[in-house]
Amino acid sequence: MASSRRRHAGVGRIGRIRNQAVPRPRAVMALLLLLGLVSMMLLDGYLRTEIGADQRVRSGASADSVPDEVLDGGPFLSFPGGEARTQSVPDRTIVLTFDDGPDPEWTEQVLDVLDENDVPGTFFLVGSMISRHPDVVRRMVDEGNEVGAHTFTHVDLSYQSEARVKREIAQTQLALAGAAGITTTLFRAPYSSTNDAIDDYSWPVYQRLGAMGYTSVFIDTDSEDWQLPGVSKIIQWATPKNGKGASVLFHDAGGDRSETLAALPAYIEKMKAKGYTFTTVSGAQRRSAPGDGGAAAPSGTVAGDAEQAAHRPADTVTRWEGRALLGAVAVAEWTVPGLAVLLAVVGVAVIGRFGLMLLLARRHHRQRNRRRFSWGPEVTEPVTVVVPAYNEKECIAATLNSLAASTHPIEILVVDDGSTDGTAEIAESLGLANVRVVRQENAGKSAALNHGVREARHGIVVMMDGDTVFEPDTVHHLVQPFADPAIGAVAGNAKVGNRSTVIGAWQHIEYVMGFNLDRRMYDLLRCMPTIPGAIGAFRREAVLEVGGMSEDTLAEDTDITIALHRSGWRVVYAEHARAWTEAPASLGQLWRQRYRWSYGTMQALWKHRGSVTDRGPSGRFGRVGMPLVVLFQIVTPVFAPLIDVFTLYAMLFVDFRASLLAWLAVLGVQLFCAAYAFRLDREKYRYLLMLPLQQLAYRQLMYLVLIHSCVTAATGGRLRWQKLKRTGEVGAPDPAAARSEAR
Amino acid sequence: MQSDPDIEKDPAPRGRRRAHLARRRPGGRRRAAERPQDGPVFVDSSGRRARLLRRAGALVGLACAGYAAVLALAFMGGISVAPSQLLPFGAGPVAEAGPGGAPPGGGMPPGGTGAPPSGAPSPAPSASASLSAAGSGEVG
Repeated sequence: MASSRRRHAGVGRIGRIRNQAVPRPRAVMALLLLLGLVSMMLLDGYLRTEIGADQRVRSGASADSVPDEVLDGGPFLSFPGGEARTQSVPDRTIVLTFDDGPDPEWTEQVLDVLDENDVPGTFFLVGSMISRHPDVVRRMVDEGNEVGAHTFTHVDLSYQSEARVKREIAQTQLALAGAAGITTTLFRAPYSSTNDAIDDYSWPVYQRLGAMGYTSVFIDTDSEDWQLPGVSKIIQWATPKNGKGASVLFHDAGGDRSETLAALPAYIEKMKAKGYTFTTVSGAQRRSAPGDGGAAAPSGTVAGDAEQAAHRPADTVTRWEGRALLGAVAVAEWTVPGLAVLLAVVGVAVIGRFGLMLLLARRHHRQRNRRRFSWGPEVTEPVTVVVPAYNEKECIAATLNSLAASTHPIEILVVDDGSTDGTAEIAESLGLANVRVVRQENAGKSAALNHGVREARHGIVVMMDGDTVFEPDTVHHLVQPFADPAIGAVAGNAKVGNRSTVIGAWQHIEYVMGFNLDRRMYDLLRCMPTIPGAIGAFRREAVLEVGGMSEDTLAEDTDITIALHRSGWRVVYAEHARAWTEAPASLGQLWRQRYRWSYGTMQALWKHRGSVTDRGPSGRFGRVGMPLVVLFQIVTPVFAPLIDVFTLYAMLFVDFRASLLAWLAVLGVQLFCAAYAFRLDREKYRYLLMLPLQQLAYRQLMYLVLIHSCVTAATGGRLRWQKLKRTGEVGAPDPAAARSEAR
Repeated sequence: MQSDPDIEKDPAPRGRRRAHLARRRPGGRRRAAERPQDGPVFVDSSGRRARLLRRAGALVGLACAGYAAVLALAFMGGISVAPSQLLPFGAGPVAEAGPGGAPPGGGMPPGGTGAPPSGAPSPAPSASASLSAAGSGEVG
């Protein structure tokens, strides 16, 4: 019963995979993840003002529409009852204002100075900074300082639309509500200074904000501390003349504020000595209000309420929305740099891999093609070629005919895996002398291969696919390494025959790079993870020793290769043994094939995970081969598209040219590697024209496949071997012609 | 293309393999680790892992959607601080009296007539302290 249920479930899965490449819940989930990632990155970009950044600052505009009372008035501009009104700071009173914070490094120190001197300050906060450093704001408010809004992204509001101005303020208030549970009625426009700097463009902004209830705060004296003029200059410029009161501008963020920090205590001491008192904007407004006896209360002793009168407790909804925003910012603050670090690691791994591959491929090529190089005495003993065939009527004849032309003595063993299209009959009808056909009930490729190994009459078994075409000298080249008794298996060089389509060309590039760079590297590192199913040769005794092909995984070729490594056999790559194979011709087929490969590879790696702690050759593979394969075949491909996403982000929001150049540089490296691989295999370079497109499309496909198989692996879903549709197209041309075409 | 539970493994290599594995891997712990290999790797026919993962996936998906929603709300102007919350002068010259007289706890201007039709639980005007309790329930 259990079995029937399982079978049923399996059929359902297959049906689903066939109908839609990605099952729906997964696609939804993936899209949601992407949405989350994108919004995180957009938020991060916005906070770092890489998005929506507007560096324009207006200057020298006329001020005809601004009333003279405002231009000549005090620094506090409000619109009670719709009428513009300015208020001045009372004599011998200082309102310390700090712009652009909170800054994690400097603001806390400014707060320390204020605390030590027992004076309050008024901080005009940038919303993006609030959302990144809410703790500082909380302390600021707790210690009796007053805060005002300084927009969210520090833009010149006179250039912005009404809606943007509102958003800038609303977002800042939201962040403030989340951080300290308050909103504020104070506002200072970025790049504003004294009243007489109000111009025709900024005046409407102040009017609108005034109508919303905001008091715009200007300055009387400017310390110009952002110019780093030196402590004495800062103090000198900040000091008002003739005992007048002043709203004084300092900065607690936006660069090195050490001069500000040095000047501040001295300034406070100097002004106190002159009989000045210190208060906040609200405090100064209150003192200057008519009938409220000027500087009655000495600074520091004024009730905190009066000095923070601009604060309003935020309502619950706003407060929670603010907290949600801060939470979102915190997540982004942690995630985006984390991703960036991950990306750097992946980037280094990718580049390092290219370097290693070039180096080792070159060494491999030189070593194996040296005139005096040989594996030992020439191998001339006959070998068995096992051709597992399941419904291969289109290709089987071409496959067998190509084998019949072999220059090496061979026995051809066709294992018909219960074909229903007469494959076995076709094989028999060819009348080739050395062909033997054995039949079995349909049991899968592994079983067919095992059957073949058991039936084989010779000690060396060549395995190939039923749709693959060998060149006459392929078998001879393939078995030469067996002259070395330590070698248990040999991988051949599979080539894509149908490369005229875009998909075919992409796979052609991939194959050439995979065989000429990856396999050469793995050969020299002695940890080749896969002998391709299309062309490989095994010592019969080695295969039997590791228990034959197993059905535990969908990649029986990877599985057995790893098993051979683990039991101490060496696996090498024979570059001159070429096999022509038909690559999937449609995206759907390609998807299914790669799905099976990547899932099978993961299965095989997981199955052999015990090797990591083993001793001897098994441990060697576990500790050298396994990490390499995991890093290069699973980790880097999974994260590679992130590189594209970040590049896109950087192109759009940071620096278009630099990002594009970086991307092109990586492409250049890849192109160079690919060209080198093509050179080693004497392939035509023109297919490389497809490489840029391949990088854009093909990589994303492989990435989706990989993610998909990771999820399937995690869920424990069941996958079946999915046979590819064959056209027999590769079998048709004679191999020599195909070869000369390729050159 | 049959379902694999029915695939018969060849007894001979399998026996050899067992013997081989046993020879190479003594020790119970490792043997236990090898146990799942008896079937196809990764396959969990009970479906428990799939259910667990589906739930985890749904959670993560929801979190992502929620994240995007929070940002949309915060940045697309889903919220706006109502002017009535800010106006220090509910009616004309209250500004001068406000800060001195009313404690900041009474966030609404004294002449808090800007209040909307009472009882309507719309988020924007729920500023007054009296509503905050109800508001928190609403949010939580």
